[in-house]
Amino acid sequence: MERGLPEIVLIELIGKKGPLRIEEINIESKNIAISWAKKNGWINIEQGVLKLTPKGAEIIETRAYALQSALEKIDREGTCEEEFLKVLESRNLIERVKEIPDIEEIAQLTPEIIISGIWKTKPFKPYDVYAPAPQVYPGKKHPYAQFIEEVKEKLIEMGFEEVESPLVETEFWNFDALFVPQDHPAREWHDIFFLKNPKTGKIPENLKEKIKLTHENGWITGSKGWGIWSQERALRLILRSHTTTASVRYLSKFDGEETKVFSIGRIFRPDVIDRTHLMEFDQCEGIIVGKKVTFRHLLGMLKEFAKVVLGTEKIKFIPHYYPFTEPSVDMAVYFPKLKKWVEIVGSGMFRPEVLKPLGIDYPVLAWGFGFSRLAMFKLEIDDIRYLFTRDIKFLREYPVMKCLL
Amino acid sequence: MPVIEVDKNDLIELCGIPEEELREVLTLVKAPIDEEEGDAWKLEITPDRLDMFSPEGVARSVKGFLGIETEVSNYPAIDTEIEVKVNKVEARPYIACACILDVKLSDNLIKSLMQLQEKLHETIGRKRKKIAIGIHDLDKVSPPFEYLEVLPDEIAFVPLGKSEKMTLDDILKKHEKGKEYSFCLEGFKKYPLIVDKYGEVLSFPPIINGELTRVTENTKNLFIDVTGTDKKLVEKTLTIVATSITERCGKIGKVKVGNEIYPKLLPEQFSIKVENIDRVLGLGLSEHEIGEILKRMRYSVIELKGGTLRVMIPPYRVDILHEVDIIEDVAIGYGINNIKPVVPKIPVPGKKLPKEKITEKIREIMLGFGFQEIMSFILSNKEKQYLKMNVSEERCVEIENPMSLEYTTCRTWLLPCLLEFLSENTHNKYPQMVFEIGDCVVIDEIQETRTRDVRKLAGAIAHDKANLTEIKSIVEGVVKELGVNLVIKQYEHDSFIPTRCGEIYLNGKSCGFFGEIHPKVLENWKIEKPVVAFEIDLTEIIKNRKTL
Repeated sequence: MERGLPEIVLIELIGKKGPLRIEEINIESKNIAISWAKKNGWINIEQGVLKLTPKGAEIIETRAYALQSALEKIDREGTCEEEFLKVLESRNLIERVKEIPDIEEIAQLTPEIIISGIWKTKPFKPYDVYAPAPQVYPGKKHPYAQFIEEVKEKLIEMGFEEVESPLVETEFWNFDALFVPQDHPAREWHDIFFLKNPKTGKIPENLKEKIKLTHENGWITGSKGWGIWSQERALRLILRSHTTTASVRYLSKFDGEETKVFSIGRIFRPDVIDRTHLMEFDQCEGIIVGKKVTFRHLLGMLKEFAKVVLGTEKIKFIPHYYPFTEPSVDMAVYFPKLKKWVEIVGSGMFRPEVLKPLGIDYPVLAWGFGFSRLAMFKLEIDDIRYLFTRDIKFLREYPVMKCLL
Repeated sequence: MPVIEVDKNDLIELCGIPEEELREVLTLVKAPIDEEEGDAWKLEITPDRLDMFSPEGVARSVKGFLGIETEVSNYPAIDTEIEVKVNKVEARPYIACACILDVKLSDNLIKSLMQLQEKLHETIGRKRKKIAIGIHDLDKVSPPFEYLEVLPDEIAFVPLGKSEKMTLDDILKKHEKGKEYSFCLEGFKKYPLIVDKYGEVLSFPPIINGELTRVTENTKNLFIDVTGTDKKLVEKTLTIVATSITERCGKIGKVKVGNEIYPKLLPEQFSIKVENIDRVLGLGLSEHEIGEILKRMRYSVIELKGGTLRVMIPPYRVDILHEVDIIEDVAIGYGINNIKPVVPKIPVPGKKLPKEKITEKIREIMLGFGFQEIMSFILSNKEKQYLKMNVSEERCVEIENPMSLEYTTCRTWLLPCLLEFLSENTHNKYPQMVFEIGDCVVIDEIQETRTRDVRKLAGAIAHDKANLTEIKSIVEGVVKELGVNLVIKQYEHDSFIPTRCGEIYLNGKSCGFFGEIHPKVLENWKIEKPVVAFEIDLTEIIKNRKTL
């Protein structure tokens, strides 16, 4: 601080030379000087010209000179009046240096001890590494979020592209487009959350007629249909009950190229919450669209899925039923820790009644699994509620390494 | 999934195979054992196979699968003189009836019959609204019978399990079954009734039978009525019940109902191309092989010619809508675990949604600041979302049929989830720094679903000295990493202390806020430490991704 406060240097300069253009000023910390001088009301800036205000002129005389002389005093004596020290310290122009105490041994190492070199002559106080240290917690990903990421990585490795669909759906996309008859038990009160507000949505006109006819009489799909369909039901808004909606919405915009897509998302079902049930949980679902894929490829896909995602080759297939796939099959996987077979993946080939109205001529292999249930197995928790735990202690103490798939 | 209970020994006897083999096969024919307790097995039947809701039906499939008994059964059926006169019945226009003669009602058959009736009511019957089945002792009444509709107080009879006569109206109001199923007749002025020659009541469908025709172990001849709103399903249901019983004993007696003769046992014919089967299954099976498999799946094969099979579908199957349904039976008959899997080779690259990539990046920033991630339900309620937060109610997604008052809406913001979390951890160690990245649902009238999912980020810090500067540093630190321009403006938000709340503008758009939570809100959540928090709508950042 040899030359003093920048703004003082500045007003002194203007004081000496009269009004100056900004570019004519050539001092250290020019911008700081201008901004402080202006803030203090010592100068005016008009069209790039800096002029001293009356206040500025007065300052040159009085207060700033006092600060300046305080700085000079610090230079000489190492300190000055407390009043000035505070101002200078707040502007980071000076730094208070603590007095170095006359110590016998070094406990806490401090900057002063390092700078002064005292450590060279004094012994270190012995510390006890066995003394307890307070517990600190790292910021961590939620175990379930980690699990979701891990599964996503695996699916991407297998060549699947991620897609999505809205949480609130029309019954049209959630059911009708999947050829689930409108009077199917899964579409009733106790299986679906219906909305009171907003109550109804919109459906695409170009698909409406085809899907309506497919339900009523099979249209050109080769099916008998269900004999019923009403627009009123189709328009009803619900909280989606599966992520298959993401696949079918994707297929409605299909461009003719062979593809593999998946989605992971929240789904909703009216259930009483307990150790194994939640009202909302996650599902993972995917499809393969290929010109010549067959049921054998579906089984091949499941086998690969078991190997890559679940890390097992101990699988078996079980015939099953889903309203939108035929043939349908479940894959059971052997969990050595549970010592039992668990049906973990549901799958099948989309029915022609689903594909034809969407204009898809290729076979489509579809699979889905109860994601939250798998997470429970993998994260080794026996109560599904822990996936959405409100207990910070559980999250703090759950080791990251346990989340590895 | 419907579950039926069977007696292990009964099923073994019906199938005629050893227990171990039976256990294996059940899994392969869509009737796996779900639970077992001693001799009681609970079988999980897939809901398409209504014909297997009885041990007799399961045995029929098992025997076919193993080749013990193949093709469509030839059910013994004789003509009878029994007739049912059918009138116009608005509530349930369709009726089909049959007799089963010379039955021996063992315990197992009675149990099976009651279970079959109940399971059909629950599933295809849509709680008896669409289909209802009545089973009677034929010898207690005198044909011809009549199906008609009557006024609620016109007729009284003794309903099953009672000793006093009741009017139809009384039954609906006072009888336990009446109360349970009265919804099926709601809005109708007249109710359905089946009576005999002397006006004795057999049944008040779909509610209850008369005590008169109660079936006991001494019953020799059964009369079955099926009523409903769907003609085809009424007929099929009758066929399922009649054929199921005759798998065990008795013979079917045909009944003239209106102008039709029931039950309809003539199998439907269906043509299917071998090439179509191969396109779906990829097994390269010959016509002959397919024919043999289908026979084991209880189809009859009429013709094998020019790459086409002409088959007869068993009359009790209701699930064959399309040729793919037959193709699945070919796969099951072949044995799914005998099929050699082929990994599909479709060379496309995997890809994550941009939204998810950004979410992961943001999550990393928050972790870097030392925040613990939490995950909450999307379902919430107005009290938590607005009242406890000291803000006025927003329009939000509301559920019509909530399971509990706890979960009646979808969350529109995340901060209440964080405060709820903190409120449940007041006994745990501070400081507590938590964040959540998740979806909220907001009303957006122009969307197809009139709602929009919005990904948001929120963070909260609770400790003795939490203050505005601390959270402002975090907000600035986070936004700096996101590559968008940040402007902070003074903001008034009722969840925060006046003057200690800022609004967050990203690229000139209002995207969130931060500040010191108002003690009133803390009091509502019973939190006793100062809390500072922020919330940012990530839509703009996700949209902006390309300019990064």
